[in-house]
Amino acid sequence: MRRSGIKLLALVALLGISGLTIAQNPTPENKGLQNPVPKSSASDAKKQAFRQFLERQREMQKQAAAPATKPATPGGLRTIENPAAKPAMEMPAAEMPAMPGKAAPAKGLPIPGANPRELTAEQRQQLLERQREAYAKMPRPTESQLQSIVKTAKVVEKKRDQNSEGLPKVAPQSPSEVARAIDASLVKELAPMLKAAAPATKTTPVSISSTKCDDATYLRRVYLDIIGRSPTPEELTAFSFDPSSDKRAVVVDRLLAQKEYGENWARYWRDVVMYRKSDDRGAIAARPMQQYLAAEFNKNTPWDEIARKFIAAEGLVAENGNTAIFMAQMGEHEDVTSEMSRIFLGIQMQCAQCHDHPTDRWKREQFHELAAFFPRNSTRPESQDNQFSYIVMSVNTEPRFRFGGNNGRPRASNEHYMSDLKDPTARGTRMEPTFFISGKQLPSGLTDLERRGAAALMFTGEDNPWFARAVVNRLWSELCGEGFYEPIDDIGPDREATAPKTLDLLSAQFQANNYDLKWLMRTITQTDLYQRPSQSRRNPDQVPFQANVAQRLRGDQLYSQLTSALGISEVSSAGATFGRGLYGRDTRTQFNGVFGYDPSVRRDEVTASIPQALALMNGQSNYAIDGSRRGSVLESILRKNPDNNDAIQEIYLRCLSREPSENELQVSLEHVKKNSSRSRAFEDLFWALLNSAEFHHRR
Amino acid sequence: MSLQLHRCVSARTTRDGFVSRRDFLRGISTTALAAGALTWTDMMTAKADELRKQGRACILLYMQGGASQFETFSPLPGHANGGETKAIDTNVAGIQIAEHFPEMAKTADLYTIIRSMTSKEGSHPRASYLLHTGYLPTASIKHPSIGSITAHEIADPTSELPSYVRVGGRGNFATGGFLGVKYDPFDIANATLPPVNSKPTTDNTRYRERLDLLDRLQSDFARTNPAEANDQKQLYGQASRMILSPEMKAFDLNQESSKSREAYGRSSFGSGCLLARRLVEAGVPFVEVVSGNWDTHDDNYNRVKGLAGQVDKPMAALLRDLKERGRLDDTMVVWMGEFGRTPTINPRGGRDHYPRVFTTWIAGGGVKGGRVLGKTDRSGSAPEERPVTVADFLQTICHSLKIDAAKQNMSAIGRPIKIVDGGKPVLELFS
Repeated sequence: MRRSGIKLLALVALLGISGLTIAQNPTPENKGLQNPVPKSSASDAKKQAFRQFLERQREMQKQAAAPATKPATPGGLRTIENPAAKPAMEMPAAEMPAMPGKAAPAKGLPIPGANPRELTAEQRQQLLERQREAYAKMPRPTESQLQSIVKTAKVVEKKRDQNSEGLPKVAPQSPSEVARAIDASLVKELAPMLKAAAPATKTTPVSISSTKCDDATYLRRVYLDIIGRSPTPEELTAFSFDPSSDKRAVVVDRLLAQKEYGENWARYWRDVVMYRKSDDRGAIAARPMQQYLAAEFNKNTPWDEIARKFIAAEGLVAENGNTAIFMAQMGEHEDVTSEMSRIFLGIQMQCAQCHDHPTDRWKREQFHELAAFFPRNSTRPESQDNQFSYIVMSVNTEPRFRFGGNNGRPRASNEHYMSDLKDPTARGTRMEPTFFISGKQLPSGLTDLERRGAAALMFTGEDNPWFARAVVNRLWSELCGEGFYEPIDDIGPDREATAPKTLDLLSAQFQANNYDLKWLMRTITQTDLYQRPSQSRRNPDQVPFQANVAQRLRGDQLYSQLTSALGISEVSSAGATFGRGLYGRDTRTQFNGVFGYDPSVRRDEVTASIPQALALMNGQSNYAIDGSRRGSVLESILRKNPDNNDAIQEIYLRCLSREPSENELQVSLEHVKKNSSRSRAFEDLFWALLNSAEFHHRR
Repeated sequence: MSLQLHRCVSARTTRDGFVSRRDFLRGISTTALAAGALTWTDMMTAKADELRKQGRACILLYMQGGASQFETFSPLPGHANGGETKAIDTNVAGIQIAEHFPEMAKTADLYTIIRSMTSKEGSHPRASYLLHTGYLPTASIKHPSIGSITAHEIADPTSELPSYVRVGGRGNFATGGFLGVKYDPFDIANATLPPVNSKPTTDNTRYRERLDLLDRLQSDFARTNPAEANDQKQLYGQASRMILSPEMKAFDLNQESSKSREAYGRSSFGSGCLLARRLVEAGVPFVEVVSGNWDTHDDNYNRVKGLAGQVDKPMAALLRDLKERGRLDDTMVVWMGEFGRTPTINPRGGRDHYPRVFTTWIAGGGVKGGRVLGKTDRSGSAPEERPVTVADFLQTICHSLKIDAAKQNMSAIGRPIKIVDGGKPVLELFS
């Protein structure tokens, strides 16, 4: 993709962020400021040269960019006053990148008025290095400064949500203690529903069953849930023969300590973000995000800390996996806003983007006040030499040019304006950053990092119950197959939860346990419900939370399971490319393109596709199960297991992590018997298990 | 519809504003079916008859990257912006197109050129999404592409072939979106090969035996997890019916005479166009054939000349063929890219992205050919007459396919989304 216009803009904007103040035009917003930006120490001549430099760039940009894009500020590049900026926040003049005259000719840096296109690659690289250094040195608000911003923020009472009181403060308890409390709480909360349902439905058991699933089912379940693959026959055997009574909890601890735990959940969250990317280029953040999160999850970094890093992210996308939400939306700050709210609070605000929410309390202005936390970030190619290296950074200067950005509305400010629905071309109303839960409003004109840093603290603050509820509800739903709220990312004060007291009990404990994700996994896996036998999703008129609900495996889980069943390192899904969610060319990613799905969608709404069925029926796995090919997985099983019963058992263990039932053994044996070729008969059996619904689901 | 079904459905709609797919099917099976009020198959069959009569289809020829209007169907001889590209006469007096399209010049009576397409979106991914869905991409809603919409709205549900086939396409901008993976394009990477994984690795008898074994082995699982087992059985049934279907021969270009192969040319785009015609004849309502590399930021003249050489003959062959076979009246052929290219030539001899005014053409599907709609100003920089927006354009396709563009489908978050938001069909094309 060659996008010369954008390239040039990137460079212009990079220069712009350095804090240079040019043509200081007071605007209505910045009259009467307390902290005027210090004057640049550069001489007037230098300023003049630099201004010419920018003018030229603007001219070129005008030619290169689509004429449909008009620079909305006639004055051209103009640094808007930044009222809250402390002098320290400004770039020291000595660090000003690409300042004409600063360029030492010996180093080959640009001369005043130089056309950046005429610079050599080496010169551009040097320029870029300087800009990077300068940006890195830009002072950032400290933790305590951010806390004081939040603490001193005024609360606008009518914007505070009355139904969103903070969760109760409780003393932290252990997973087993909390799991027992949940069991009891669920019994209590579900009792009226069971009573009411009893006469009407014949299919629902009238009493809460506390039966536990068998060991094999449990083991495959925790393996798939925690580390994203099914257990090997050896792991299954070891577990079955372990006589200890606490082995179920012990295996969870062991799995949580494995690296695969972080990898599995990093892939999960990658999908949460990437399935909503509004631009294919956002895919470049997929891998960095996954690597970053895998490390954080394995370190067991508290969830609030992770969330804060995503909200206040900056830097090169390739090196900072926490920039993924910005990259997935290409920095379109209204989209970023709705995603931050959806992912971390489970609250979907975006309907209020254009009108007051039809079913929820959110007013249109509340969405836009939330968006006002995010307008000063920018996501763009870092340099013209590498269009695939994107950066998320603060831009406290204005304006930003963009083809039809902001849904075609004019974008010429680093403040957020709520558009006027009756006059879409008008600038609209300037919004002040106000958090819709606590009603806290930031003072005018804070910098990008101050706003987002404050937002990060407000999102994850203990006075906001939705932060804990959202992730607890999500993980509960992933592990038990049914959420308290559904869909899992559409919760909030106007939604009705199943067993809300149980959700709050777990959420308050999660908060008291310092947002410890491993603690949460341990707790949920120890509940009664988690360990129940598997069932299909209930009918709408049946009582919730009666069984652990089967779920279609995510693409990554299926891939891991398939490769391990086939005893190979990778399976290609040839031709099954260019599907949804593509972000790489390795076989796992391609496979995900075919078999993956958006994990935020209600699980029984996820449908399988014909290309998926075709890939497993007729695809490459048939090569691996060719019993006549020496060295194939099937040939080796048949060689090592001359007894047919043993061979059948082995194939069941490999594919479904369990032994065949009596009935299944009989059917299999019959099939082998009526076939003249043993290897052919076993190929059929292997094929049938790989294509079975059970193989594709976690029970 | 039975009362009970209604109750069950409305119970869901009040909370989420939409009915969950499985709940709805369950509702049907447990209440209405038992009561004998209606059957799913009855409904489907009734609908199918109506649709078969309709027989409407669309072939989208997509020039990925954004074809230059000046070097294709809107040359600008005599103006600096026209560059070195010459215009040639066509078989319709008064219509000229670029010299690189001699075959299309001979069939100009079959299509109508729209020279006043206009949009605001100049980035590839966003514009591709816009031209395929009519919407700009957002985080919260994934919109279905026009091909998926067609499959959803007018495909014959009893057909054994996929209803939206894409040949040579790539990218995530054309998916079933909130309609689901079922409406994703069925991708064919190479038109001369059978669809990927569509050939059983065993003979048909053994294949059926395998399916039967699979079925018997699933009975235990089906007892605890009937929904999962059932879904899988239906999907495998559908997939198997498809690949074992005699209709699959529609994908086999070897069934064509060598004369016909030569008429289209044996290039990948030519083979794709021929495949499109075969599929449409077999009842597939939407086929997209993609030609790539139109993003000519440098060496524009030579590159477009080369690209034109790849598409000119196949496109003309397709139009003639459909005409001769009497299929052009109910098959709309649409030619478009995601935007046009700048009137001015950049220093590298290229043209950059330009959505403000660009060119498309439409043939068949009720559209009268041999005309030009709209015009630009003298410099080719702005639409001057009859601007056609992306919404107008998609409305026009819907009009031809008899799809109600104002119909609202429910997105996953329970927000109703119009098939096309705004715009009006360009009715003068049809008269």
